[in-house]
Amino acid sequence: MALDSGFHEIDGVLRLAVETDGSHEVSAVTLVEMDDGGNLRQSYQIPFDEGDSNVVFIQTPPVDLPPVIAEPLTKEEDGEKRKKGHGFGSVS
Amino acid sequence: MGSVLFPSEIFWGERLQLAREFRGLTQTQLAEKVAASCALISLCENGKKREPTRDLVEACADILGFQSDFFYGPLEEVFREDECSFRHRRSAPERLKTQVRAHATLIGMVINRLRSSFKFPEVDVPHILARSFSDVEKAAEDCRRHWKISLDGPIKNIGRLLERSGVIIVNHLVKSAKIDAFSRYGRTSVIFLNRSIPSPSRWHFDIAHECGHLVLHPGIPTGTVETESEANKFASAFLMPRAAFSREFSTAPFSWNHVFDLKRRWQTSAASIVRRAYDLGLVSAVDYRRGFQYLSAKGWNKAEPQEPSFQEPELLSTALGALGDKVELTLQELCADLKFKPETFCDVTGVAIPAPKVKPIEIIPFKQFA
Repeated sequence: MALDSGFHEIDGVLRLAVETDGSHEVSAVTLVEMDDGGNLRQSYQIPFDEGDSNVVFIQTPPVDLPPVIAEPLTKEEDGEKRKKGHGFGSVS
Repeated sequence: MGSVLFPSEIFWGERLQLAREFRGLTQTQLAEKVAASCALISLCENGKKREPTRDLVEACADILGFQSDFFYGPLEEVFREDECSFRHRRSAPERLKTQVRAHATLIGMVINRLRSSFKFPEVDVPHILARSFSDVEKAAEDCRRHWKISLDGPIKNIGRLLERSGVIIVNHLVKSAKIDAFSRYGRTSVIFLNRSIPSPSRWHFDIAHECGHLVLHPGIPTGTVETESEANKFASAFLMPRAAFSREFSTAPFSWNHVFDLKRRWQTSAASIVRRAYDLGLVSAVDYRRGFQYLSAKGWNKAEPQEPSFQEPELLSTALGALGDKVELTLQELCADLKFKPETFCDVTGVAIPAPKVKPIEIIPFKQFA
């Protein structure tokens, strides 16, 4: 798909070069493009210590439920409940 | 022919015990207040003294905040110890738990009375057996599936989810810092929250924890280290499903900014996020330990910043709010039916009963007689 979109195929070798300083901390990361003979064609500095990324992760939206309410009983439901004798706090 | 006593005319010792426990009094304390012996109160409560004198009943009613008639007739639904779970500190005294259970039983009476006027959602909580922590993890996922909730994201309002499943949330627990939450599974299933601890992210976790007890431990005595850690694990897995949480946690290196970004999205505390990340192997033991040391040093173990908003419970409040408007029953009638005194109704539900409107006296001018 990338090739269809106009990207060219690289005829060569890509390597990642990681440079460290005296205390073995990473000081630079470089993507190096070489030909088959090992000659440098291009190099690309990768900003490895950038704080923010432009990559945006797709997040599923939170589950949001509609309000819940206690519905008043209809007259028919009320009548049925009374017949069954359910739902009264104390027997009297 | 001897007289036949109707149930409503029989003194019910269980009701006296319930009212006394709700007020947090011992039998001795109540006996002192009504100038009776502790033995007499005990006999009344145990049903061995079936017809206490009317003045003793009235004195008890007065002290405890009920109408005298409250003590007559059987209790419909007592919240038994084996049906109840507490999220509490180890130092929570047994008496406090008894008081909370009595409070919950009284709320149950209010709800049962409201059922004659309102249709509450049927209780629909799955029961899932879990023998190990990995079973608990799966139970939390199965519970989401049961309620048709995606495993891929946060739940914006866990209280509403539970209320839709017939579990009534009450945010008016007896004020004590020693009990965080309480739940009861039965015909009337409730979760009580302690709102005196001002932390919505903690309330979300408390609701999920109590949900864990309802799902994992119906009919099983809780309060042991095992049942509490299972409920915590359930809450964590239910609020932050492993796959989705791991994916989002791993989008940035471990930092407090990232943790608070996740807190805003997942609506749960930073502490629970760090713990979940540790449990899922996303942070090392060293980072976990440092994280909690930092939380503690900042005082965030008591009150965290960037708290989410909290959706107030809706079921009970909408029903009480509709009284006298959408249904004929009024607050005053409900209180009178239950045989509570108005101040007790307020203590139980958190809703004050407005004073009855006094009709202005019609003054007839003398000249009309002339």
